Amino acid sequence: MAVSRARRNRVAELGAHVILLTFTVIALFPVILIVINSFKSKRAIFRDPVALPNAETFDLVGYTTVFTQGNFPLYFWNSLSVTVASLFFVLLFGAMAAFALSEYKFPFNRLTGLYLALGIMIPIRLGTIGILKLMVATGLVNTPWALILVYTAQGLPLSIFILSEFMAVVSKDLKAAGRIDGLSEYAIFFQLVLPLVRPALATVGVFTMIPIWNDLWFPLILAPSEATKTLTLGAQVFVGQFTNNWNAILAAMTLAIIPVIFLYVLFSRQLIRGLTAGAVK
Amino acid sequence: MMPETSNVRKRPFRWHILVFLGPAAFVYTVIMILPLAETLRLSFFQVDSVTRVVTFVGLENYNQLFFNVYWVGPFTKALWNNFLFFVIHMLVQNPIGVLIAALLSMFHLPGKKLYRTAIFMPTLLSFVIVGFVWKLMLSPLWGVSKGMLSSVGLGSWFMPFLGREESALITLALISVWQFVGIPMMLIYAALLSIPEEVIEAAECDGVTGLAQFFKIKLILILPTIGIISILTFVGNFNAFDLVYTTQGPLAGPNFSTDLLGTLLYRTFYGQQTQPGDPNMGATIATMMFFIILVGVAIYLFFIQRRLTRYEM
Amino acid sequence: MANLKISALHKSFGPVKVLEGVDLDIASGEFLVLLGPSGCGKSTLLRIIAGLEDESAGDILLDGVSIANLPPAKRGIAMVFQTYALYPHLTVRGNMALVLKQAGYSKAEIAKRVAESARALELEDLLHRKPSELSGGQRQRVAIGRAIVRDPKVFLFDEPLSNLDAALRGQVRLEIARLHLRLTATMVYVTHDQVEAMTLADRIVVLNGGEIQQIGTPRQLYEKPQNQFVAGFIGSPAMNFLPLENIEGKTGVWPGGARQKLPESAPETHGPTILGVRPGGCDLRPANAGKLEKTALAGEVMLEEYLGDASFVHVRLDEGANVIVRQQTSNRQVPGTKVHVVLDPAALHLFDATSGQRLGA
Ligand SMILES: Nc1ncnc2c1ncn2[C@@H]1O[C@H](COP(=O)(O)OP(=O)(O)O)[C@@H](O)[C@H]1O
Ligand SMILES: [Mg+2]
Repeated sequence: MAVSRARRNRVAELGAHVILLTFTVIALFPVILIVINSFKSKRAIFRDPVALPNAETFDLVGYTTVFTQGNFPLYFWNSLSVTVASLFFVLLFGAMAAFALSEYKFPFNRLTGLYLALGIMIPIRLGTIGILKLMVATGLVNTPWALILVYTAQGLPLSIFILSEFMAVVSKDLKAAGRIDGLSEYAIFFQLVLPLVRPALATVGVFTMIPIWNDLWFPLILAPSEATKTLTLGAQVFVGQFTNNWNAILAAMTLAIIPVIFLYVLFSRQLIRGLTAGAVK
Repeated sequence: MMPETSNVRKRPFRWHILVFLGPAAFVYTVIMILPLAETLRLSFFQVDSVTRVVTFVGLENYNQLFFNVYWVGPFTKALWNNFLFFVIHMLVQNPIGVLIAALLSMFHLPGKKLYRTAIFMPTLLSFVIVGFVWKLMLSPLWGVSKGMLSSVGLGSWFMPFLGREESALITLALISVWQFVGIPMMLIYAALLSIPEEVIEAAECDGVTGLAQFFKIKLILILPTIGIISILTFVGNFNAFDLVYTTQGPLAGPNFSTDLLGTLLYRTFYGQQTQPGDPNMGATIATMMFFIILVGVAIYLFFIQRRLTRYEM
Repeated sequence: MANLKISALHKSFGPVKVLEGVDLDIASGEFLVLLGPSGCGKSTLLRIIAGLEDESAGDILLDGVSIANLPPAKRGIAMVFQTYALYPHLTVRGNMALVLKQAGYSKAEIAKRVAESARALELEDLLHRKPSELSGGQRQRVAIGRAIVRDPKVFLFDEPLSNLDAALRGQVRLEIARLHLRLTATMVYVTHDQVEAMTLADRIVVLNGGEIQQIGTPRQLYEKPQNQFVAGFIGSPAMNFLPLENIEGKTGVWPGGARQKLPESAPETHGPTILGVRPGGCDLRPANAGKLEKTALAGEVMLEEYLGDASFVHVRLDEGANVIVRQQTSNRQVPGTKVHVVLDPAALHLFDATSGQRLGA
């Protein structure tokens, strides 16, 4: 914001810094606490929880336990594949449907849009019983596909809603030029429209990804087997088993935190750009 | 009238619309809408626990839920807790979100991006992590929170917040606020950024500055965003389950004091301790949750959103 | 080179009728301009010709063959848009080559044609750039280049200059005029700007409310507007309109009873009439010039717009109407001065007061 130098109020700015810094510390402290203590010996964890590990207190016993006892690389892989696959389908199918709704006039266009938007307000969990029956009947229980399908269905309504707002403002002339140049409707969608809504895709992607990565409910119900456990469920079970092994718990949590932060840092610029471009007003 | 024309337009069927719409409509209908309809249907049936015979019972399950002491107590308690949970979010999470977003947008602060990134970070963490981090921190065993309270001279205030009936629910709600305050912050920040510079400059010229400018101009212009955040909070809160499950377990202890509709649904569906699960009663509770959310959304759409003027910007 | 025939074209968006029976015959090699106020259906007509919008009724014939059922790419047309509509992910070369690739041309042929078009529009140095690295004028030149590589039968332009600033507008306008001379292709050009229309067109079609008001050369439209709408729309500042009670013996009768001499072509007698006169067909006399001419209209100078080579004087007549008079700049007019407006009988246009149709030749 262009606040002129003369009008800048040093005192108010300092106040703003203090308040924001306070919230930042509150936000980060618990996470930092977990991470630093995961590298300390059990005694040090209890003696001085807020101290950084030093030569004397440094201990990797927690990580050794996690890697020998838990199946964390597998859980991590399960979470990653389920999240990436769901994200792919949510963005692809969502963008395709959004394009159809915003680009073409056809009977019941508005009604179809409303029907697909209904799911924004209704949590899919309330259909768990039916979903479980369906997955049992199709033999998809304890496969990653059960989760991928559920997360795709869960993510589609918001994705369609946001993306169609974006697609509605993609230049009509550009699509017309494509048609005159002989591009098929598919080429217009994939080559012209999709690249132009990339910031919106990133925003939708982040908002879709967070609840999928962190979900506990559906992994617990649809895919609790050892082979399909996600990181969230795995960590939950692990923490339950190792209630008193603080080193192991803290190490497991640190391992679960790192990938999310990594992804976030990767996406955060696109996220802000997508938001400020008017995605969710 | 249209004139007669020799050229009757025969447009080929536009298959591409079906191709574009098909996958989303199919997955959404089969995985989401049909199961939701199944939930509704199941709530009208009951299964005999011995013979496994399924019978249509009409509204009997609802009758049980509302009037049988066995069900009505837990149900109203969970409903009340859920309501408190929502109120705490509205009173704490959203004002803090507005405050942070306002501070971020009002000043030309160095390190702005850092603040924003850090405060949003907890939103990314899974409930398992959030639940256990706070459980550990608040545990009297570890003493982190006791030590911190002592360091500011409030050592005597310490108690096992999550372990006592009177404080457990509020503590959980505040933990949830800690986790999710980044979402209102981001949305409001984006809305504030989208207010045109000219409007703010005009206000400055008219002598409307500082706090007055914020309350009289910016806040009014972003009210629709705050409305959307409120309804998102409402839907999220009445659907909450994970945080309670990870910190307090499915029994939502101590003594069900943190029971929400989501945990009640889970226990009813899966059973608890010696009690076997009851999918039909589960479906009944799920249908009630569905109605509560629907009513909330309808109230918002018909009574609140109408009054929130959306200004062209 | 091809002639384009549009017959009985209707278009409605739901209940809204946008085009109501448009008939047009565009000769091969003609530069036809569709002129009309914003929202009158010009773009809709152009998009229907291009096949981007379906007509509700009517037919479009190119060289005698109906193209109404063909997809846009098969119609042999090219279109240039107001917003340029360049593919943002392709370079200038890629933008121009895409249509040829889609049509299955060989690599060598594509390279040759792109090079030719780039040379014609002086785009050679820009071929490797992306649209975001070009200025507005350059973008529109690329859009034109993209249209000519395919060697279309008909060029369609939809307000191609509207997004450019005044200086560039003149430049690209010349570019288009030169292009037409060189290619002698059929061109249909949409604009709401009469200067563009007058300078570019072989013939102008004036559209209003979805109906054709008049078709003619720029000179015909200016000198013999067929109705009051065309008369008021063409020319800047617009023609002045003043009501006459009636016409008796080829002489106009003002509401006050005073007489007005009319052109030779005026009808013998007519009922209520609108008299139209361009600012150049009026003159001013000082009110105190002694003898008051019979035909004079008394009024007061409101303001003067000075344009260098001439000035436009706004006069408020005592009856209440406003008249704009073109003056030599040597005669300064001070606001508040009482004046008389005199009309040159040869410069008058007459329209029926109810139908707005032109009276006389
Ligand atoms: N897709 C559409 N749906 C509904 N109305 C439309 C559509 N396109 C154009 N119109 C209406 O048709 C009229 C003519 O539009 P247009 O041809 O774009 O006008 P022009 O190009 O002359 O300014 C306008 O009133 C416009 O609102
Ligand atoms: Mg137009």
